[in-house]
Amino acid sequence: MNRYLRIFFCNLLLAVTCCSVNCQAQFNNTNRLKIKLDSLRLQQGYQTDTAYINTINKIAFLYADRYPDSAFYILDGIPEQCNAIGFSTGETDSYNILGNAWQTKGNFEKALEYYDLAYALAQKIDYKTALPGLLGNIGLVYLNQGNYAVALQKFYASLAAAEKVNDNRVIRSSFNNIGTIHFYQGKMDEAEIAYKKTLEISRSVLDTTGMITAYNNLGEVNLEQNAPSKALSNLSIAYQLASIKNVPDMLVAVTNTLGDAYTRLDSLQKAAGYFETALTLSSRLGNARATCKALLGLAKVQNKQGLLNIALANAQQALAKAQEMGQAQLLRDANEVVADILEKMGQGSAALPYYKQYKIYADSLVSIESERAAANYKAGYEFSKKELEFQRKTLQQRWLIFSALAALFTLVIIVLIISKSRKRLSITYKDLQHKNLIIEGQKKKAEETLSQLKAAQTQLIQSEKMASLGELTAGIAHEIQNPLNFVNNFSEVSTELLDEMKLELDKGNTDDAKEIANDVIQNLEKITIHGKRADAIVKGMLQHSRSSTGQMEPTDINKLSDEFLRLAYQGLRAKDKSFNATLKTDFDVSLGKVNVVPQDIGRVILNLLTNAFYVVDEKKKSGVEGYEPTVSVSTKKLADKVLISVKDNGNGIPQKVLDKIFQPFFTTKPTGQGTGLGLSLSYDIVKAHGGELKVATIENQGTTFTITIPV
Amino acid sequence: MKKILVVDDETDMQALFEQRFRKEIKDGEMQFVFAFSGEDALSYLNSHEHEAVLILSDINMPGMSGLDLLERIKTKGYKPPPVVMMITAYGDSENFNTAKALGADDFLTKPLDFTTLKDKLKLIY
Repeated sequence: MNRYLRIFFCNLLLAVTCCSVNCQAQFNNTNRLKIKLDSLRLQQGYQTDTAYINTINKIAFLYADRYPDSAFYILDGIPEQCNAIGFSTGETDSYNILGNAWQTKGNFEKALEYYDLAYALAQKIDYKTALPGLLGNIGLVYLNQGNYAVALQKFYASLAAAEKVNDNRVIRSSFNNIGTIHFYQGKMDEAEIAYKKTLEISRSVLDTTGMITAYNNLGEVNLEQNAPSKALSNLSIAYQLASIKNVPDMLVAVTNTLGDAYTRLDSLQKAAGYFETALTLSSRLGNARATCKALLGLAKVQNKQGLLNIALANAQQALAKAQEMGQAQLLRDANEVVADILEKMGQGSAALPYYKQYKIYADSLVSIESERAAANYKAGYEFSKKELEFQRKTLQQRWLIFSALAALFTLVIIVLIISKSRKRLSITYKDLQHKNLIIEGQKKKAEETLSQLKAAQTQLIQSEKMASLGELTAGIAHEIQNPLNFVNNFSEVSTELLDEMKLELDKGNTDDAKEIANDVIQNLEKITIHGKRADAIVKGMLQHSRSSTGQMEPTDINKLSDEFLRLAYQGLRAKDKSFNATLKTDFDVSLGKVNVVPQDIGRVILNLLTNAFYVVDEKKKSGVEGYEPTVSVSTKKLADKVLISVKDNGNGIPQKVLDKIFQPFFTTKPTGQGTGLGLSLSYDIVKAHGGELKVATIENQGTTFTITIPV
Repeated sequence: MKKILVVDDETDMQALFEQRFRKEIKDGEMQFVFAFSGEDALSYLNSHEHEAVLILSDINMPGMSGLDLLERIKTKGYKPPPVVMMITAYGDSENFNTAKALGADDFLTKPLDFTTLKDKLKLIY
């Protein structure tokens, strides 16, 4: 596979032709251009000199492919300059180069914006020689975005425009790009025709690099067509040309393709030889891309040879390189190979994440931007299919081992039975067969039930989340009303005060006026305080409704506890106006910030508080004489841990249910009032923080839940 | 001089009332006292018996609620009996009916309309 090379190549070729001046000769001559620039700068009014602008464009053009930021820098103000002096061809070139630079940066929308500007201007001033290259560049943007249909249309338009002005380079690169699209779409016959055209034109203009590319691409097409011998003949021409003309980057690319060809032919020794050569060569050249491909090729060969350990090492090295470059095609291939090898090694579960990555890249490559979300979805779907298959396999294996043991046991019995009676043997056998059938049926049933249970569990966890959100909403509405009232009132009253102040000033009572001013200042401070209060409540609500990011962050546990105490209390009050309880807090001020997932710990505190309020309310409703419902929250810092306690003076938890309270679905609330998941989820959350959730209870006196979090 | 006891757990209520009734306070028309819980309000009333007081109380407070306070005031039988106006964020019929049944003289909902409140205070007294 050599797709990137092709793209890069087209990019290069197109970009060359789209510049009005022939930059190719000076490709390696940025320095000479800079010297020229310096000499041009010596003249007066050089900024408006077209020769100066052309030189700037030439340098920017060379930068655009590799150093886009530098291109932006030196082109800054140039299009405006051109416009001011009516130098429209220069302006067109500048826009085009800016488009190139944005394309290099991967911002295809911006690239398109500038190409469109350039194209409109070129048409307006009838700048015919710029049109084919521009159309080609626009096509490349669409190609990069995975919009093959539009890309193809633009390349054909570019081809037509280039034929009008006899621009062989653009004709050739258009054919090359058209071939590439066909190759991507798997239309190998059409790709072959286009690449042959490329070859023909490259030959006619004696462009060796173009010829090598064409032969190499044709070789790849042949490989896809399952015609490896044809591929070998094309590749050997490419190889010879690259050796004779001494184009090392091409040579290494062709060597890699040759390795691919021999891998297909199952000549693994030969293939390995080519990949090793490519590896040495590419390392010397510092060509990371080719190195990565060579490593991948080697890994594939070694995988076929059964040298799994070394194959894995190479594949992982290739993956690391691909990640370094952020190159999607290589990332896809490397992940696929790593997953493949791991699966062969019997490490199915280790292979799964790589397989998932592979699917994501594979799908995203098919259509880069617009369908990325869909690709992710599809990848996830296929991943879970794969996971299921893997689980089934493991189950089958376990079943196999179990069956083997069972069979062994049965055999012993059978031998014993044989010695007693042959007749009974056949009965036993039939019986066993029958039982086996029953077991098979039961296994299927059990599997079905398991999947149903999993679905039910997910739904219940969701409803627990919704329930706790519901508990909060009413509390929040009340909590937010008070600060808003204050904001409104204090601003209204401040307006009145200022009117009064004006009167006092008119009367010359500066002392009174000053006093009023002080009141207004105090009011504005209060407005800020209450505004912030409302703000914090909304933020807290958002934080709760947002599903947990799982991010640990330094959190003020005292503040968190206080917030949730108020919210839980107001929430209950909103639901049941007769409810009332005394709230007590005892916060350890030396607590400082503790690293926790705030939404998660907040959910635990809220859950414990909701339970506490529930039990004190129950006790009060049962009519205990002189009973004062009281709920307290306290925090404490110890040497290596932090304690958060929620205490109630309810009836306590009976000993017989005490060891069940953390079990999922256990609840003492009437049906429909609790999911029975609150404490179970809380327990899991605290465990995930490396902490403990403990309970101490005395019958008829109350219960204390204590969260311990290590610091 | 009208003496008004405002009961609310929000401490900023004091500043708000003092400014909203700035003119009345300055002219010596009204005097305001503040309590930040039902318990505080009761102890004030007990130490200032025989003083004619108008009470404005929030319902929704932690500890002793406004309705609890109302009940205790009305059953204690202060002389002269204080006028009690209840304030709450929940302008629903349940709180309204309870307050009426307990003998509240009026019922106001948050956010308070201070112009109406001023009129009422001047009328009822």
